[in-house]
Amino acid sequence: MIHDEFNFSGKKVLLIGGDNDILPVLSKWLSESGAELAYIENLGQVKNALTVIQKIKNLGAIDIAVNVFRSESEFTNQIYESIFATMKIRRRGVILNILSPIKPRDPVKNEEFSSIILRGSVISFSKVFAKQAGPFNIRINTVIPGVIKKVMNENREVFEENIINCIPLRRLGTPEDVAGVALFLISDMASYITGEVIAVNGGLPSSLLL
Amino acid sequence: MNLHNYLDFSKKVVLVTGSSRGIGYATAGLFAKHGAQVIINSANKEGLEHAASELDKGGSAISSHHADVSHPQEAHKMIADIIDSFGKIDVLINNAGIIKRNIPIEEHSDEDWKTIMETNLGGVFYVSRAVIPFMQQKRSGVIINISSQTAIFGSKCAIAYPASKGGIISFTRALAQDVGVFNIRVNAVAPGLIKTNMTKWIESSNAEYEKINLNTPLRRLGLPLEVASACLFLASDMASYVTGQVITVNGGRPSLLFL
Repeated sequence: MIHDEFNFSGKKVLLIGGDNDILPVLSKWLSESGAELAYIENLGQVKNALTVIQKIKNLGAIDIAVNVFRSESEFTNQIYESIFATMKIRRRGVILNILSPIKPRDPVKNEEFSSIILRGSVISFSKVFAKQAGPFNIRINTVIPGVIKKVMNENREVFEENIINCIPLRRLGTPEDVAGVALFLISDMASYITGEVIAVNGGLPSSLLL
Repeated sequence: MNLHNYLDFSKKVVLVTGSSRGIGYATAGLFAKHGAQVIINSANKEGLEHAASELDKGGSAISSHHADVSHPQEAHKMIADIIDSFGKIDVLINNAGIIKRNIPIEEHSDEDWKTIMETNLGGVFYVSRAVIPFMQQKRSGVIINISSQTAIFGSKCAIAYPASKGGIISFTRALAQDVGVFNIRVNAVAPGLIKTNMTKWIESSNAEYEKINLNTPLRRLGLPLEVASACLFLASDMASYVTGQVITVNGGRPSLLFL
């Protein structure tokens, strides 16, 4: 049964930061649903913003942009502005930020501190951006994955057992779990949802979101 | 998982409380459209019959159950009857709710407070309590509670309504922790201003309408179908790892005003 909700035919979707487990699932679904896909690299690795911005300009009208944040660079804002500009002209568009999955450790004691700051700032950024973009019928939302199976490593078994006991659904997430929420948010099913943050974490208490 | 199976609800039994009109009605209709066996409910018998006959016109599998969810016995009996007829409930959407406006707190009667609390928050508790054992048996189930953005922002001269809707958010988070182990997911949807009878007063006042539009980044009221779509998503396997969450469907009105 093919539902209108997932009809992406004729939609141009820009996928940013392909180096992860989530975008391949999403891009498979989108291409099966008729979307035209374009890719650009992880924004944290951008050395020359102008090249990326030119690439975005060359794409023409972008309907949907999905960015999996691994890290950011001084150019992130400029690149978002250029995506926003292509959408603004047509007065429609959807932007989705996907944060990287949680690696639950003691944040104060490790070098992951900057990634925690990044998570907080992406959430704030998308709420403020939603306010600016809304009048142009452009939506922006954020997905916060919990602990996702494929991307985990190190001391797996002990670690898995400890963390699973803290997760109400008693299992780790999968890339499909995250991609499902992403698909909803970029579809017309979410046409009145913007500035929203959805955690895909099996019910981990929200204090652990970051 | 094939993408197009995600929204296939055939063979699923879905109960939507308070579904004779507005958001509940749209939600019942959307699930029916996606193949579900839908049970609609209302405390208003006439409204319920009318809704059932309208939804029947679409050729959907609709059954109706008259019950006032603010009465524990009625809520309990409704669930028992549905289990008798259909053998299970896969998705429960606690939507029944009432509001009384323009009552400053000092004029708010005990009776109004109790009626609103018992319907909006009590109803969620009574119906969920009755359903949970059957979901536990099957080790699967989805509960979606309809809260409101007033739980976050407050609401002028209608103290009991936002208080009850805030309670629904806490209830949702707590229940999600308790029943996750049975593979039962519990989430809430917090709608903003949605075009229904409940918000007709806004459209009748230009000044109010303007003010609300300016506070809403998408510059319009929402549609019942847009809330129903969030429920459809949460009930589907697209949201298989989402529990204890509150999704606001409000056109982007920011919840953190300092941003």
